[in-house]
Amino acid sequence: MKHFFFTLMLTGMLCSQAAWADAVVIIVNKDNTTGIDRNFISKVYTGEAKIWASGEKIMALDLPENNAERAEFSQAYLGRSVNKLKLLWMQNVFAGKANPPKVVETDEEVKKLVAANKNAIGYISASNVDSSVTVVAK
Amino acid sequence: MPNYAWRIGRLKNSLMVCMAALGLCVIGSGLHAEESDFSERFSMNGYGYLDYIQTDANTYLDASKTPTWGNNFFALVGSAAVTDRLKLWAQLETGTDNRPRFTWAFADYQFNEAVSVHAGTVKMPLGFYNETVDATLTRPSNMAPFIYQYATDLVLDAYNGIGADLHQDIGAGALLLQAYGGNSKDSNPTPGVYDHRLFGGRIVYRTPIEGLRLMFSETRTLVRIVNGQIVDETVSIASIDYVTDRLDLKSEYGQHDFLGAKSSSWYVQAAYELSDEWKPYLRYDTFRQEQGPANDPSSFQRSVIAGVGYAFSPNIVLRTEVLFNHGYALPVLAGEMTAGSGKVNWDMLVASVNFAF
Repeated sequence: MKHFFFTLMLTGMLCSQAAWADAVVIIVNKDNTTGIDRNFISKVYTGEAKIWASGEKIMALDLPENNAERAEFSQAYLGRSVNKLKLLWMQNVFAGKANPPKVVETDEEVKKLVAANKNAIGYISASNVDSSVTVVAK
Repeated sequence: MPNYAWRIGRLKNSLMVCMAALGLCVIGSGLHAEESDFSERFSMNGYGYLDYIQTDANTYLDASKTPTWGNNFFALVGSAAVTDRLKLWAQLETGTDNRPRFTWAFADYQFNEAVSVHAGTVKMPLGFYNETVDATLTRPSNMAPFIYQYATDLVLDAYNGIGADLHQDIGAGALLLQAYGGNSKDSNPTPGVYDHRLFGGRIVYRTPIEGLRLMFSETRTLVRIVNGQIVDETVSIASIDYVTDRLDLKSEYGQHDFLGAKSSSWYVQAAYELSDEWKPYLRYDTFRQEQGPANDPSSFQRSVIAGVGYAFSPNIVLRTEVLFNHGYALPVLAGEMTAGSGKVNWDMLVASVNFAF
């Protein structure tokens, strides 16, 4: 019985570790020292926040519509499905309010652009994080 | 005797607009305009629809027992970022009966994280739908609520002037305050009046309850009428919505007051996303001219609208809806019927292809 509970706990721990490793995290450039919380991230990805406190334009990055990380990011950070968010961006564009984030194909591209651009913000899988970028939310 | 040549001509125009728009839609979805380097600064998007409308009595939007394909719309929205803070926006639109024209074009300057200002011809921030009233893909139904239909004359296209937006987080929730002033740009002006001056604003309160918003918009126009007298025209709209991942509940009350002639409209609407493809919806919508006798069916209209949308993709939605109408104020206000000539209870079918790219 003891072995059973021990095995169960270990499995649970490993699973949660694996879940963390696959979780989506928000990254910015290493030189970006702006304090960023979930509220700000939500504003950036819904078109409300367009510039950093410095006055420079926020370069928000998105993954393709059918990407699983995008779906997870949309639900976890913005509380909406990808389709709902797409509808919101259409409203933003057709009302002349804001343009949607730039779409890139892979985590690697997001990381590369964020590492190279001080004003960029994006999300990638936690397992793909390295020292070239700063994680600001997870 | 119906003019068949004219009808065929309109049908051809409709089909051409639709085909051109759908062609652009396909091309647009392939190119992902915003993804190219060029579109770091420039973007081009578009939207439109093609309607089929038929009624079982009364004439509205050119439809009667004889159906019409004549209500088409296509618009292109372009933006150009001049600097990190300054962006130019413009919309070019056309329909079967309209030549291409710019409906709005303005410069937007972002002062800081919270404040932006706009100058030019700017879409009027009124209620939920005024800024995107023709972008039918972005709302659940084909026909806009009565508040936004041209016949009721409650809302205006745009203003020529300046406006400012302020986003403000507060302890519980967040506020968006918008204010503007200038001249009106009314595509459906009242004959005999001119020289409009207007000012107004909108307050949007995003409550701490996820998905719940409250909104109040008002526009006051100073109108110089033919004898030189200046009178007020006021439009007020109070709005509430609750939107979750699948459910979209909206309700608005709008009121129009001009030279003592008052009219009001309200609706309650529910839409539910059964799946990524299917979205049924239901709306109860009312309109009333308060100076008319309460039982005159040409001065009020109460409708139940039931419909369903099917999304082929997030960019193309096919929708069919039926309007069960009691009263015919909108056909009378649109000048398509005269008071006393209509049928009190009448139905309308609207099928539509809606697209955006």
